[in-house]
Amino acid sequence: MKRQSPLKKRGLLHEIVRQRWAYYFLLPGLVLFLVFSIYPVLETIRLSFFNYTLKKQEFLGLGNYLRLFQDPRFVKVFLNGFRYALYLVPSVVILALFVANTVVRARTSIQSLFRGAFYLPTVVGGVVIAAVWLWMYHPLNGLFNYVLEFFGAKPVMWLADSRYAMASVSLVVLTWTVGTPIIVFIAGQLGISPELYEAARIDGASGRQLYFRITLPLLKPVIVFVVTMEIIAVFQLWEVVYLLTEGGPNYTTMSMGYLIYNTAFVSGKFGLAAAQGVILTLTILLFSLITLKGSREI
Amino acid sequence: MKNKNPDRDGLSSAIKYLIVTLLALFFLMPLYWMVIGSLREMIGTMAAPELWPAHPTLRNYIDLFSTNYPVLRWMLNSFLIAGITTFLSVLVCCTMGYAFGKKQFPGKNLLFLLILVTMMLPKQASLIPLFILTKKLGLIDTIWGVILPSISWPYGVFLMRQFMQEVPDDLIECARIEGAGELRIFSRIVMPLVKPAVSTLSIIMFMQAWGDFMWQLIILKSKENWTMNVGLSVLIQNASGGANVINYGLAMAGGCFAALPVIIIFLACQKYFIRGVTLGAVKG
Repeated sequence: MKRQSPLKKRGLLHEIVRQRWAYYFLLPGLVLFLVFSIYPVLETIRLSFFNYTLKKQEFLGLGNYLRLFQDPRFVKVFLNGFRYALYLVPSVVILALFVANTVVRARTSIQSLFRGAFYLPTVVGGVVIAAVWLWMYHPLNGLFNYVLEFFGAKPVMWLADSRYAMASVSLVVLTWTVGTPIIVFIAGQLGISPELYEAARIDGASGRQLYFRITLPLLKPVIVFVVTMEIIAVFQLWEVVYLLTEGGPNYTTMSMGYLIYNTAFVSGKFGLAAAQGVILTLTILLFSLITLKGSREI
Repeated sequence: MKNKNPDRDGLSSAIKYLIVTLLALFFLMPLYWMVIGSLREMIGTMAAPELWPAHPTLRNYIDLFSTNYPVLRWMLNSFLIAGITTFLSVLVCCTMGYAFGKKQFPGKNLLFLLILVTMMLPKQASLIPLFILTKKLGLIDTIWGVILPSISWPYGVFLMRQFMQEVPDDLIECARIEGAGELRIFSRIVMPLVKPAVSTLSIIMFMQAWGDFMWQLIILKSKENWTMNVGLSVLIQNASGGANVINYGLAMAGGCFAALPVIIIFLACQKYFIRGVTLGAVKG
């Protein structure tokens, strides 16, 4: 498509002028992207090498990073991301696959009823959901301990006992976010050609075989997409942790996302928080790449 | 549209439906519990949970609107922030998507790649410089401090580019030959054709801006400027044993008030929600 011009530089300039409207259309958005998306990321990397507070700035080199990896609390929070992922990714994916596979054959009205029911918590948002759960988990006034006591069991400190805290937080995140993967899986399953199933059924395949031999393999790209999204979301987990536990007890439920907020806006250590932000970003990028690459190879 | 599947195992399918129904009820239970809680008097009591309040009362709602918290202002702020962010963001997505989808120009691929890269970055990666920048611009504690950094939305640009690519070149060429200017082509020919995409994108963005919490909490300091989310988070923190009397009823009434608009929007535009959620996943 490109014209070969002997005067290359003049050709480029000419082309830019000729297509000036493309740049006019791009310009407002591009300015916003540069100022509010790209500059902040680069600046985060720069700040991560400084002892940076609102009062002073002092170059540290890799000091922030060394300090973080020598801090057992940071290592714990870093590993918490993987623990959250372990709790949440399999449960969300399996639950969503199960629900999707059950309702996908239902009449449209029933299907959209279930879809709506599971999606409603996502619609009302994390703050509202966390607010109710905070009450239900309350050791004295909460619903769960009332039920336990009713059956004669001992009350549980759902959010304050380090044995249960992360599972309790994860359950809230599960109920809050499972709606999206369900909708995605239903759409994915509806996209599979019915003829494939017909053919397999003629060959005498059972319902289970149909699911594991046809549905799941064909759904794989969608599953990979959901898993990647979940992992990214889990590391950034924020509002639910902030409202339910503030990361406690003793950093058990602290997520990277919340730690960064805390370091920056509670302790005022912007440089250190920036270093945490860089580590979070690298972790997320690495994970996305691994999932994407792994999915191509399988 | 029926997916024919002769039920060999009608029984196991019934059991599956039962499980899914129970799951759905469990997942919806918190919302039911919130409504019930908002209708009960619970100040300082440890009353037993009730499936339906024995003495339903609107006391909590009356209190909610007569506390020293400006709840209606919060609602207004939430709508303003989500509305303005959506309008500006979708506008930017359309103009950028149009340029990337329909025009050939030097630097196109490089610029598009730049936008795609920002898609993979977590919010927390730019939190601190954004805060310092907002402070320098004097936008702390204003709604523009919340809105401005939220407009650039890489995923929206990416989706809009795909929709723009489907606009037939012939139509644009025809209009150009008839002497229509670039702005006219964009607003009269292209935009009407991508209207459904605009609706879908608007819904996604509106929910995103409405549901945002972290940035609002960082930027909005005085309680007249809070949004519904920030205000509700304070109500629930007070309820669960701040300095004040334990009063979940008030917080639950706040929760219901906060949830109502988005539930109405969801029920009214379900189609667009579903489309929005599945766009990226199933097409790609």
